[in-house]
Amino acid sequence: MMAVMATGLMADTAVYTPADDFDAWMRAEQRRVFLLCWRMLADRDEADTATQDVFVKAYRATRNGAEQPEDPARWLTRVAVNTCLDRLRSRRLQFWRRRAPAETEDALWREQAAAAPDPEDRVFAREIERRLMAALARLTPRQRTVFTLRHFEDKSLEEIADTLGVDIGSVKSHMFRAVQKLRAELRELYCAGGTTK
Amino acid sequence: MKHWTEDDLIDSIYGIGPSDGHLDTCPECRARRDVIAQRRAEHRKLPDLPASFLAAQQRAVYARAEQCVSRSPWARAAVACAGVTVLAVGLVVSRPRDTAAADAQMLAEAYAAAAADMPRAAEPINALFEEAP
Repeated sequence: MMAVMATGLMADTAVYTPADDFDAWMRAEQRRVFLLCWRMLADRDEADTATQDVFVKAYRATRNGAEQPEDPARWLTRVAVNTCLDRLRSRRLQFWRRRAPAETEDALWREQAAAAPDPEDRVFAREIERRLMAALARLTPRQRTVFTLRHFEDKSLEEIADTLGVDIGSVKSHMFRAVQKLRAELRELYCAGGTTK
Repeated sequence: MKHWTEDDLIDSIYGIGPSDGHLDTCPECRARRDVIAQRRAEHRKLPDLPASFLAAQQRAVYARAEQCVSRSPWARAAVACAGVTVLAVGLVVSRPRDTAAADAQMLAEAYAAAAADMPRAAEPINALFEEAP
C-alpha cells in the first residue's frame, strides 16, 4: 500500500540556525537533506556530492553575511531540490553515465528494513523500498520532486509550489501523473498488502 | 451514499482527491482515511545512516567550503588577469588598419574626378561617339 511505502524524512528537531551554529544546524539537517537528494537522484554517490554542494552553498551564504532566511529549513529544501534538478537535467546529456550497482543503492534500505521487528515485515519493507525507489526513478524529475516532497517530507502542495516556483495547478498536475504511474507500477505490492478494497 | 474507494482516499492524502466534499459528511470514509494517514505517519522516520559516512560528509563540506574561501582572492585575480589578456588580444586582433594611406588615395581620386572634364562613368558612352583616328 502506497501510503506506508517508505520512511519519512522529517528533520531532527531543528532548533539551530546556520548563523548561530552552522555545525549543529548541518548535523540536524544532514540526514534529511541527504535522503531527499538520494530519493531524487537514486544514486548514493551523486546524492553525497549533491548534499555537500547544498551545505557548501549554505556555508558560503552564511559567511558572506547575506540576509538569513526566515525559515532555514525551507530555504535548505529549496536549495537541495534545485541542486538535484540541475543534476537531473545535466544527467540527460550524460549518455555514457552508468548507474551505481544495485547492491550499493540497496544498502540503505537494508539498514532501514533491519529496524523492523518482525522478519516478515523486514522482508516486506525492504521489497517495498526497493520497488518504490525503482518506480520513482522512472518518473520525470518534476513528478519525482513533487511526490518526494509530499510523501517523504510531508509538504503541502502550496509549499511544494513555493519551493519549485510554480503554480499550484502545475504541482497538482505533476502529482496526479506521479501517483497514477506509481499506482500502476506498484499495484501488485499494494494489493499484496491487503489494503485494497 | 457512495463511499470513496481506497484510490480516492490515497489521492486525497496526496492533495489530489475528489472535490465532492464527501469526507466532510462521511465519518466512515474519514476514519478509513485516518487509518491510512496514520500508517503513513508511523513510517515517517529517518533511517539511520552510518556515523562514519555522516562524519566524512561533514569533513568534505568544510574542506570544500574552506577551499572556496581561501582560494577566492586568487581566483578573482586569475579571472581579472584572464579578462585583461582577452581584452588585449581582442584589441590587437581587431585593431583598425593604418587608414592614412587609404584616406590619401581616396582624396586623390576624388580630386582627380572633380578636376576631370567628364565624369569617369561617362567615358564608355562617350567613346562610342569618338571618331576613329
